[in-house]
Amino acid sequence: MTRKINLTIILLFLSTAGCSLFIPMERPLEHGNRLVLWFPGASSVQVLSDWNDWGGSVAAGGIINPVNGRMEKDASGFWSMDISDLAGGVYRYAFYVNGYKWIRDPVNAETASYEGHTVSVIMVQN
Amino acid sequence: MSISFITMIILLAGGPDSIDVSIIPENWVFGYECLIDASASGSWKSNHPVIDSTLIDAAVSVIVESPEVDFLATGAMRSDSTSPAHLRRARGVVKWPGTPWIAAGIYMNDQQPFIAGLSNPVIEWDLVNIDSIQGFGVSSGGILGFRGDYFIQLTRGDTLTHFNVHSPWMGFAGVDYARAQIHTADSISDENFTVNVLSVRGDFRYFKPWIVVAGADGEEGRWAVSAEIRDFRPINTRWGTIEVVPEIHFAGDEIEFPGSAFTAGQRIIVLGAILESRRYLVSAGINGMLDLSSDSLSCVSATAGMISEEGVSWDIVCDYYADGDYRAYISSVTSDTYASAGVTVEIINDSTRVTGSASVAPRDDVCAEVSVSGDIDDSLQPACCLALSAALGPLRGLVGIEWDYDSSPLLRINLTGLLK
Repeated sequence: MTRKINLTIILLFLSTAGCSLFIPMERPLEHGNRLVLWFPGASSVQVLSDWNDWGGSVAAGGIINPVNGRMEKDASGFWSMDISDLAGGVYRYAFYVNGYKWIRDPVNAETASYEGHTVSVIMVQN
Repeated sequence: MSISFITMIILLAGGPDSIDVSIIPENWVFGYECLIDASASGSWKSNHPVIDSTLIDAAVSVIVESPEVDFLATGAMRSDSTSPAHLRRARGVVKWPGTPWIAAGIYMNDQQPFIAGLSNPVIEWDLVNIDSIQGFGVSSGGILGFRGDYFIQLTRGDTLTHFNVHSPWMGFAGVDYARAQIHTADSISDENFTVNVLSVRGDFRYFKPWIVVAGADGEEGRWAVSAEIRDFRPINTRWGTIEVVPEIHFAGDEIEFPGSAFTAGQRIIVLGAILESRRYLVSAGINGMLDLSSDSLSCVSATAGMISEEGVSWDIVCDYYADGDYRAYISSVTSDTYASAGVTVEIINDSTRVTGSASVAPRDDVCAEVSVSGDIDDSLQPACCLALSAALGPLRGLVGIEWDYDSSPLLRINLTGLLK
């Protein structure tokens, strides 16, 4: 019985997502080589990642520095951060929203895990 | 001594005006910052809030940077520590300016080893306790774009060495090599280990192989390899691409690497397909993973995400394992400038939990959010969370109340700030 309910919920979500009413938003061109997150109502968004010691939380002290990896918000509600200077390699990252909520990048299909959180993965070639 | 050290740091932090600038080269840049984290937690008892614990952590860092030196000293005070003030982190590095350059430094609670793999790391950040690391390091770089560094450190009586070399992108390939080694004071201890990792990323125009080969010294069976073929895009249009990604993750039977990239006896083959759009904020991926060794990890995984024109953010992650276990995470949040509302469904086998959330942002830097969750079965197990967050420049504050069906409400107050 519970399996049927679960299946119904999944199908309901997928059919709603497939509805033509939900057309994907166009990617802002000016964001170029940047990580972006659509979250217009957030008070703060940071990128925590392997490249910045997870916001300083794996450095001595273990505190997430509120400035480390801080994203900039534009007028249309996008938070973004330039990553064009990253050295080549594989990095895990997640968005840290409002100082307590971890979310993966919804427009990056590649995932990994860190400290029990589902996070995103980016591979930088250069 | 610690108090005088902190005092010295604060005096130095006053900048070059407070000291005799004539002895300091002009191109030295002085900076200081103070990271403060104050938190309190408590519960709701007898109709009023009771604070059960508080924690205040303040760390003052002095930073000196120039082409010749890189100096950092962080003094900290923590309310739950037996010593009121202590040196938390320090490094002093002297560099040979120009290119090629060479640097040598001493480090305290700094330079933690970490070796990336493909998605999951070969050595995770918590290999050793960062507060126990002290040692020396040398770095070099600039020669044809290559960089390298070597550290020898002491951590709780053990000797930790790590060595890294990074190549520049050479037009068709980039190569990284890393070696980490722990020698315990007792040379025959089982705690000794060595990991050598060679990472190669290539570009053959139509596809890009990424290969990670890892090995340990000593007995047979201490090897591992991960490989992916990237950038093979059978469908490639102006709208976007579909990338097919074959992967393998094989490991010998005797490896004991501390990260999650490899497990002993691992034999995994993965075939994935990833949809990426150049024009739109949408992505999707599907992975089929075959575990040849035990079948325990064989699964099909799917992820999808999208931001719709209507301002709805979708996030879907589903896994179905060969043994019949499954889990799914489906989230949909509609947002505008001042408010958002959403529903999240988390399914783990026969358990389904639904969370409804709503938030309001009266200002750009203030957000209040409430979420209510419950299981879809007879037990319901409701929970509720209320959070008010604010970010004012380098300060971030959070007030939260969490309530679970079987416990009294928990309060949480947190203030974090970086003052420069």
